[in-house]
Amino acid sequence: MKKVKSQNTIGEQLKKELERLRVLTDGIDEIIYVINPDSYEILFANKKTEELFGKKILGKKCYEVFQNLNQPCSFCTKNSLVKEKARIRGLQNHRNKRWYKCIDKAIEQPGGKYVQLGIAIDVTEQKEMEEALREREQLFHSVVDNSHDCILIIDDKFRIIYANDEAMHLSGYSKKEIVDRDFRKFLDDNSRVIVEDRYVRRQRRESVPSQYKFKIVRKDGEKRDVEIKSTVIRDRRGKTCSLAQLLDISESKRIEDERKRFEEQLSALNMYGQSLNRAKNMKEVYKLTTDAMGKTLGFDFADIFIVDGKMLSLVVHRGYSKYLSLKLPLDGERGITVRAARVKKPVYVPDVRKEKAYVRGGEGILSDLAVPIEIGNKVLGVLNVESKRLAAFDENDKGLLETLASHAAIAITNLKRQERLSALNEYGKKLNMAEDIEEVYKLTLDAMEKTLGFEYAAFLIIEGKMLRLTGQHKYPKKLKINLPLDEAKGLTVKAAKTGKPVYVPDVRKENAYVGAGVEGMLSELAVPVKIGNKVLGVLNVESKRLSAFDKEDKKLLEILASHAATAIGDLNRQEKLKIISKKLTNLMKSSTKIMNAKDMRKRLKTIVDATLKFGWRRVVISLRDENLEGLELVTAGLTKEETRLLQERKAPGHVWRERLGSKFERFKIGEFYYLPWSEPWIRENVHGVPSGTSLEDATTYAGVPSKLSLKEMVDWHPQDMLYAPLRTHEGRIVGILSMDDPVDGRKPTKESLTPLELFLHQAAITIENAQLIESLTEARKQLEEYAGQLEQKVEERTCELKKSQEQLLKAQRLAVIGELAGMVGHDLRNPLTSISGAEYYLKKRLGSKVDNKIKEMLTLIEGNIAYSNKIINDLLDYSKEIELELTESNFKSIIKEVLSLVEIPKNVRIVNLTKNEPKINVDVGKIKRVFVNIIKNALEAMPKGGTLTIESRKLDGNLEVVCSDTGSGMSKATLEKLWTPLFTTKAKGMGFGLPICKRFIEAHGGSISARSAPRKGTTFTVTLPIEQKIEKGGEKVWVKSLESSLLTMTKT
Amino acid sequence: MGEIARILIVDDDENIRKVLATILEDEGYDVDSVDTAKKAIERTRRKFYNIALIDIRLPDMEGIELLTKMKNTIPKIRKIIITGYPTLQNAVEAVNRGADAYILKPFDMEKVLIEIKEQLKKQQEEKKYSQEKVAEFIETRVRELDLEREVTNKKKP
Repeated sequence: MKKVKSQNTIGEQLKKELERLRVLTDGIDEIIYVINPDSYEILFANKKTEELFGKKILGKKCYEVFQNLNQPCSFCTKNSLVKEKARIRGLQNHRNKRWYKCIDKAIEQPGGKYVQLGIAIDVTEQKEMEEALREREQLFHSVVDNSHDCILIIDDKFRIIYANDEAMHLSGYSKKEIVDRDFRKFLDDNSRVIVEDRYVRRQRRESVPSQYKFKIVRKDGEKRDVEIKSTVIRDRRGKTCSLAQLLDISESKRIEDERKRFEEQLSALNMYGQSLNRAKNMKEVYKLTTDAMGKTLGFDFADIFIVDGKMLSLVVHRGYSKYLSLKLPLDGERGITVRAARVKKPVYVPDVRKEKAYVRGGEGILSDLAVPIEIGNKVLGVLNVESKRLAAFDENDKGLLETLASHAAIAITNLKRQERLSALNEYGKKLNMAEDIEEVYKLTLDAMEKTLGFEYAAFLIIEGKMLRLTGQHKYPKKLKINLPLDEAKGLTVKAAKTGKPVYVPDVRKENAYVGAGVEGMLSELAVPVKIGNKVLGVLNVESKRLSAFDKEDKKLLEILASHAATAIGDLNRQEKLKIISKKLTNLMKSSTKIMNAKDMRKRLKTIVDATLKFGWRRVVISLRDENLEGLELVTAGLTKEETRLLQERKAPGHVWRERLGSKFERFKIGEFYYLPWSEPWIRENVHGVPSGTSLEDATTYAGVPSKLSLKEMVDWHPQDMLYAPLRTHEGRIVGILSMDDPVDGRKPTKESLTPLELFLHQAAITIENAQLIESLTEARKQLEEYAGQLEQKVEERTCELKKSQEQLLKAQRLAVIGELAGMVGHDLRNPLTSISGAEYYLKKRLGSKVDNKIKEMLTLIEGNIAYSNKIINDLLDYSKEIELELTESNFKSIIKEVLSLVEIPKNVRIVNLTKNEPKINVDVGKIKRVFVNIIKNALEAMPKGGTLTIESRKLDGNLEVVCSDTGSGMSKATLEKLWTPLFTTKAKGMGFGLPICKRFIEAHGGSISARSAPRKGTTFTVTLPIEQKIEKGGEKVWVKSLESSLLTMTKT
Repeated sequence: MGEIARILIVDDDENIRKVLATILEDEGYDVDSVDTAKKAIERTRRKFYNIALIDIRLPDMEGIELLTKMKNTIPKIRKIIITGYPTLQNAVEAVNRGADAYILKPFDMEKVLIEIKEQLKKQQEEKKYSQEKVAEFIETRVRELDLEREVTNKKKP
């Protein structure tokens, strides 16, 4: 048993101390506890402890509470607590897995006992940090140790603290020899300076690049280039040291150096290239190239070969002692250069002794490198370098040489192109001076051959509808090629039709290819010669090689073609100008001639002739009157037959009026009217072709047929019409100028017609003048005539006037008499009426109661009244104006009626020979009276009887009636006075009868006459016109024509 | 109708008037004569004449003109133109203006008397015709009226 009491007092004291401890330790954030070292019971736990492990832990076993163990931890058992020393350990608490640094101290207690005061400081973080650090160090080591780079840690005194494995490789020293040695010892002299300088500056806190290069010296003395990358680090002790990474850059440096060298070579090459671009001729190119090969590229023996036809010839060399001349056939086996040219790839022969094809150029040559100069796919030449060393050339050299070759190729091509271009321009200049088209062909072909180097060249020209060969070069025999443009034969035709170049690399595959009679042609290039869009011809080149022509050739040929086109265009224009100027000269000459010609026809002929010369084969001027009816023709270029035909066929006036009218306005060119056959409206309306007929079927036309064929006509159709009116200043049309069949076969244009308008005016003026002159001449003639006849005329006129005057007076007198007679007659009628009436009354009243004498007297009165009436009638008849009422009748019926009116005594025989024909238009009443009168007279002339013959017949458009009796006849004296009024042999009658008859007959336009001799009878002849005539100059007769319903009216 | 026909003579010649009047009265006609157209128009207004003999030449008017100016009666007065100028124109115009006959001077008295008789006959016929027509018309109308009256009578219940 233990000493309980002391134990209790000890315990009390402990408690007190523990209390004090609590006060102290509760404020400390660490685990503080006291345990009995023997029993492991927790005697005290501070606040923190209680927080972590719980409040009721006093008295419990520490290993239980703290560690969750069933027994004390091995540490405690192994290391017993010692008085003086503190026990320090680190452990990981099993409960919370945190690390603690445990410090146990034995605290002596009164009684010689000890308690364990423990402090567990949470060092988890520290531990972790240490752990991490350790890890890192390990990592560091693993990395660094195995790094491919040499890594050193150098302190500020240049002492190598650490070196990895690589350092050994780099330096060739062992680790032992490296570590702790002065870093500077490994450097070469120059580098030492640099490094030291660097260091100093860094110390001074100057900014220094942390990366730089220097050289180290290996154990075996070899110098190596090294690149260092350093960072400053501080070690545990706070000292600065550098962590340096060293990189062996010897290799890369070397490569770098090489690259630099290569770059220098390349830039030298490019410099060369630039100077090449400025090279003016081939010689310069060669020189520059060989210089480059020699100086810049460092090739000792260098030469240049150029492709020349089928050979590869040496043009320049450098480095060789003697002058060389070499020409190798390209299809042969000799020459590495030839091979390079053929395969189009560089050829490298490291040992020429083993190469059969090698052609010796110089002494002691052992290796050869040939590089082709090519552009596109074409080999221009070969660059060749040789060396006295074996296998002297490498890829670099090849590359450089290839670059050189390409530069040279470009330069050569450019130069060549320039040469060609300047040659072309030369050619162009020459062309401009060409005088005729033959020269153009020749120059062009020359250019094609010489400047462009085309072997087989041809020049084709478009003529009408064909493409014709006009010039050729290098073809063995003279070719005659004429290809139709509308067919598919010939590549040249294709080029001409499309207006674009045609290139056939292999003619065997082309259907349209037309052989020129030369064997073995394989490729062809055809380029059209055109101005603007118009194709004039084609330039053609051929080659016996396949795909012989390239873009370059095409371009150059096109340039040539355009030059040729311009030249041809110019020549054509010149031609045209010449023709026009000739025409105009002719015009002027003709104009002068016209002025000089005196007579209208001559002048017009000059005009038509001039128009002819101006370019028309047929010219006609037709003179027209004011109705546009043709008067006469002046022609040129027509045969007599044609002129006659034209006269017959000429269109009437109204047709021409139409042709010069508004409907045809749209066909005008200036003052000319151009009616093309191609216009359907024209065909229908002018030529009379039924509408709807196609151009081919239409055959009818107006005018004279053309002599020329359709082939000769370019765009003028033989049926086209061209005419212009010849107008005076007032606008009156005096004629028409028409032309046909142009010499050039073309449609007329404003340009071609305007000069002729001059003629139009001239011609019109000529005609007008001529007309004026004619009319003037006429007028003058008339005037002269008149002047001559004037006197005569005046006399005649005077006579006429006198006669008229007389007649007028007579007429007046007659008129007065007539009026008088009329009035008298009429006034007499009234008293007569009265007397007659009175007599009637007397008669009636007296009736039958009268004796004979009275009856006799009354009858006498009656008779006299009747007689008086007759006299009055006659008077009135004679004096009044005759009005004829015409009817168509025939004489026979008239006479019949007349005979029925007259009492024919028995002793008179009537011979009636009157006929029905001819029919006459007469006033029947009056004619009847006439014949009544005549017959009565005849009867009175035959008191003892006789024969009366009446005949009628047609005589010269008149009806003649003859009335003859066998009566007593008349004396000459009587005949003379027969027609005089108031003359009578009779006791009765005033003698008006026959005069009235005469008037009646003459009013009809007829005549009456009598023939008689005493005792021989009398014949009266009456003539009456069948066609109604109105007397002129005599009496005025009013004529009224009655229509008879029985007879048809004749139109007048 | 047994009435005496009345004739009017229009002529400016006194002798002719006298002679004509004497002859016509002797024939049994009632004759009046005037010497101007004006008087003729007046007379025909006042009295009825069957026939007028009109000279073509009157001092104040052309006979033809007078034709139209004379009053038309029922029966229409018959107009005979007397003229010394026989022309077709005259004749046509006379007929157009309403002359019924045309006589030439100097007369053939026989012809004249016959013409007068003709004209009177025609006039009678005309008169009769129109009288008949009127009678017929009255008859017809009366008949119609009778018929109407019958019908209306029948309608009465």
